[in-house]
Amino acid sequence: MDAAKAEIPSRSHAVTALYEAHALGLVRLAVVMTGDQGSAEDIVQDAFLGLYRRWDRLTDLPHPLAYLRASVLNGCRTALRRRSRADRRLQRLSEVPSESAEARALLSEEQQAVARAIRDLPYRQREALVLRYYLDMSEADAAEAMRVSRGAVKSATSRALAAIGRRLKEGQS
Amino acid sequence: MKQTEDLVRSTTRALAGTVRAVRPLPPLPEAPSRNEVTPGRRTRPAWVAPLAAAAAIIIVAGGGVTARSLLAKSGTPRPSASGAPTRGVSAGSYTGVPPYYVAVANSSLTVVRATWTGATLARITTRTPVVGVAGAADGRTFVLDEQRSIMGGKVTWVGQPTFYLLRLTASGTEESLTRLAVPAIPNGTVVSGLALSPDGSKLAVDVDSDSWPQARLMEIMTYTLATGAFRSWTTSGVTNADAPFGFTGSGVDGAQSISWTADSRTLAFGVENTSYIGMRLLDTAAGGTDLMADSRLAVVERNFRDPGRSLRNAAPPYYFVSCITDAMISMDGSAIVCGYSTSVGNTTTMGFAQYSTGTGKMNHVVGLVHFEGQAPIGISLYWVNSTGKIAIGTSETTGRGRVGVMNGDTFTPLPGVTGFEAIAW
Repeated sequence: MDAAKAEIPSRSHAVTALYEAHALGLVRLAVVMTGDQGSAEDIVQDAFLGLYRRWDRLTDLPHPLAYLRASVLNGCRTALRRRSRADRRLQRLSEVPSESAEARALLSEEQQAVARAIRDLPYRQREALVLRYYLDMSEADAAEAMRVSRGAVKSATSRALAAIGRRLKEGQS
Repeated sequence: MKQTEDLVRSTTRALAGTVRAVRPLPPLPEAPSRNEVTPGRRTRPAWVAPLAAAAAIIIVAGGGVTARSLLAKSGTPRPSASGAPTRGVSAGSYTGVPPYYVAVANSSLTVVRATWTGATLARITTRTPVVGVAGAADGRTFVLDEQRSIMGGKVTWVGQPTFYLLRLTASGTEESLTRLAVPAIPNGTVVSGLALSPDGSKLAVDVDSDSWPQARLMEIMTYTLATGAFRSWTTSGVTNADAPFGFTGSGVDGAQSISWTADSRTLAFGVENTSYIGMRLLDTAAGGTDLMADSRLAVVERNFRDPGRSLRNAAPPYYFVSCITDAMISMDGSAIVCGYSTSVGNTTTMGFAQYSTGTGKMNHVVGLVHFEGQAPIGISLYWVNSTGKIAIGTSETTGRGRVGVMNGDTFTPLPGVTGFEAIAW
């Protein structure tokens, strides 16, 4: 058995172990970002397959979860971009609700309104908001995850909160 | 705002809690090639995560600080040709659109590019990241704002920002890069807006406290570059009931929040408080140090106390958003241009509208993009011409977006304007 083949089991085992440890949390993150569990699971699986594919080049990866999270967020962005194109066709036929039936059942009316407001945010604002308030990241950590400056995170977050506040206020009036 | 934060926390966690299990990972291949994998059978079409997943996540509309071009050549200001070009005219012939722009490409690289071709004309590397850029009206004078250090993926606040004056040659290459001797900004504040006066003589800096959105301090300072002399206007978000929420927008990290008129005297800035969202005009040559008392409210986008006076209600069922975060005053001071969106039925229109600083009413639509559905919207404005009728900006829906020149319903994309953190014409 040559060295390359010898690596395969450990690589496979390591990625599978990471999947078992982190897939649920990452799918939840992707659901918050995309509002759709099917898409979220696809995105997360792609992230793990990407990790598996690049394992050779990532042997010194100190924080695989951070890498996977960035990969998932990038996948969410791609998915939303594709969905936006598709929505333009689909919405001619019918309005497709973004929240699942389960989400609609489990979320209060106010939370559903907030979820809709989050869904309507530009992607970067949504991402900043999710990193800051769902994952409870500091501004610096969110900036690192988004690969933008801390000020950009602050700006995007404040805009997002203001937009949601306005949406909720309008809903009350 | 605290309540909104709590609602976001509880909502996102409730949404996440609806996921209780995930499907297993498909079988991994037994013997993939070293750099290539053949994934197991997939139950859905694959969205392949890009190799650079851990790299930059930068949206085209990331934004930055802008200035307007009124001059055809460096030095003496002169009015641009009046009026917008006729439809069908080549975008390259739009009068007054500056020939070059400066974009912050990443934490250590700032580039100068040709507006109409996207060709890179100069590359400026810096040890400390440039996070903001603003331009004068000659199209060849810019100020770079170095603020933070990114070392090994960590973003670190390094104290006072450093401003550099960048001058370009007539062909757009770097002529000089000179550190500006401007006084320090107050401790504990961050630069949230930046605007270089049209004649390049003054730099306006908008700062707020690091505790935003509590916003204990908001301040606009103007520096005279030749002498380092400065003035400041402040307001307290806590004690001043007129501005409890402080400013919105971010000239450095987002879109323009402060902008000058051609005389390099009047400064426009956005305000959001419990009463209204709007734009105010500050006469920097007049006396005073109180940002609110010494400025004039020019345009009210939203009037919370009297909804009938809000712009959104001027033509129901239109719905206006984000006016002040992407607003600029025209060089002649007659108008404010800001991004907006409207939803009527299942059709959304977004773009930029021009509002009179005299009457506060909308009098011109600068750019329009129509699409079906009510998709998320991002709007950024980077430059407007002297009369506020032509603009450079972007309108996007969830990641789709192009930067281009807008003139009425004509949108002319600019090539190669992607992947920047801040940009200025």
